[in-house]
Amino acid sequence: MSRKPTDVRDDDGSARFILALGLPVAIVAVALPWFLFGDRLPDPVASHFDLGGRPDGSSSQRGFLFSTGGLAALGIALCVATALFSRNIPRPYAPVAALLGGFLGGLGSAILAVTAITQRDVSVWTDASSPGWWVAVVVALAALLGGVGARLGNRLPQADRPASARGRPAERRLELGDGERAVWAATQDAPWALGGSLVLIAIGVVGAVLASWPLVFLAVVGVAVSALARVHARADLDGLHVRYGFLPWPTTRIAIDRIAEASVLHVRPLDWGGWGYRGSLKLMDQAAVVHRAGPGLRLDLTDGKVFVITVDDPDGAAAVLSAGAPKDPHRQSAEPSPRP
Amino acid sequence: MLLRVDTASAQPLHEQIAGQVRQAIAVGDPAPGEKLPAARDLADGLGVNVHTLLRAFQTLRDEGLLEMRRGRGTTVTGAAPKLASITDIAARLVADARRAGLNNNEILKIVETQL
Repeated sequence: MSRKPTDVRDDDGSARFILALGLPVAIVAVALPWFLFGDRLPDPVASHFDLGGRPDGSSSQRGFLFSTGGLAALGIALCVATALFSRNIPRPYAPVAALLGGFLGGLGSAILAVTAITQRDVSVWTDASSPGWWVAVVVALAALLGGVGARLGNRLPQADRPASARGRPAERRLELGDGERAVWAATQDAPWALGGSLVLIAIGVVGAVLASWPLVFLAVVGVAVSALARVHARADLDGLHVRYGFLPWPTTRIAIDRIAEASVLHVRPLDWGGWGYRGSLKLMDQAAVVHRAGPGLRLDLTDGKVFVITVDDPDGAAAVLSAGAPKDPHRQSAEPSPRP
Repeated sequence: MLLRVDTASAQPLHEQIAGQVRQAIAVGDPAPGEKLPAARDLADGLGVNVHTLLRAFQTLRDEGLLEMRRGRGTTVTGAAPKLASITDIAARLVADARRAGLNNNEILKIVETQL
């Protein structure tokens, strides 16, 4: 029986097992310091800090455990539910749910752990010192467990993508001779991303100057959003190159020999996880650059991953990439021979 | 926009590229007001020097098909759809005439007799 590479996943059920049991155990293990130092913590504990690092909010130990531990429990529940019901979840939402589960679980339990580590042997919550760099530890742990969740989620058996996500062959054909080269290029603008980015940068800069410097974070987010405001896509005989935003980075480059098939489709954003840059070619088995509903290019990669980008005239891109593809004798012999 | 060049052809690359862009404009894609992809991108994709691309763009600017402004990129002019198909015919006329061994004066004379 021949199966497409996308379907050969988690034959032994190990991903499902690890996601349902291993990841939850890891999440609980991260929270261990809370249970170890429970009797050395102030009650209430400091639960919130102002921008200067001074505690400005408190919560009873029990309340803190319920809210923050509840977050971790929610993450665990998401992981378990995803593992159990992945067959009923359409792509790409199972890995997304597993990512979210790992992330929330890691976040909740890491906050518990860091609170316990930084506030042990503190007698009154107002004496608690700033968590400082421990915040980075919390974020890193949450990101790590989220990444593990995403990778496990990818390997789960999943429901097929809806029919509207399927690509069809390009209508244009490009037959290139020996000395011939071809390029296709298009620029896609997203006014919503540009507007949002400018607003964020303005609030961030003005806020940082007038109010509080950590607001500069908003400006950083604004710069990140600007990466979606303009997308340059280029297809040539070497593959697909995508440049995002107004800086030389980030980019996506997919070499021609990694592309098994280039096709065109009408992109429905919800088939691909929504608007923006969705998914990841490294962490997940698909990534989609979705600016709008409408024409797009779909690349099926040799490792079974899928890359989608909304562009005008995707036929041109698919034609160039198909012309650049190394000639595959098996694929040609599989096609019916033309009538004489 | 899709461009193709034949490096084995006797026709200079910048002329091939200008011809391709002209034909694309003649069929309305890109449309007037639309921006062309960056010359650098197209040049990298074709594996040619960026100046070859710019030379082709300049030819089309001189024909009134493109507008090039610093910082705003290259856009298709409003007059382009009307002009593009005619200049395309003229470009092919000139190429055919040269191949037939006619010189510039002889080509101009032929066009003049049609006016």
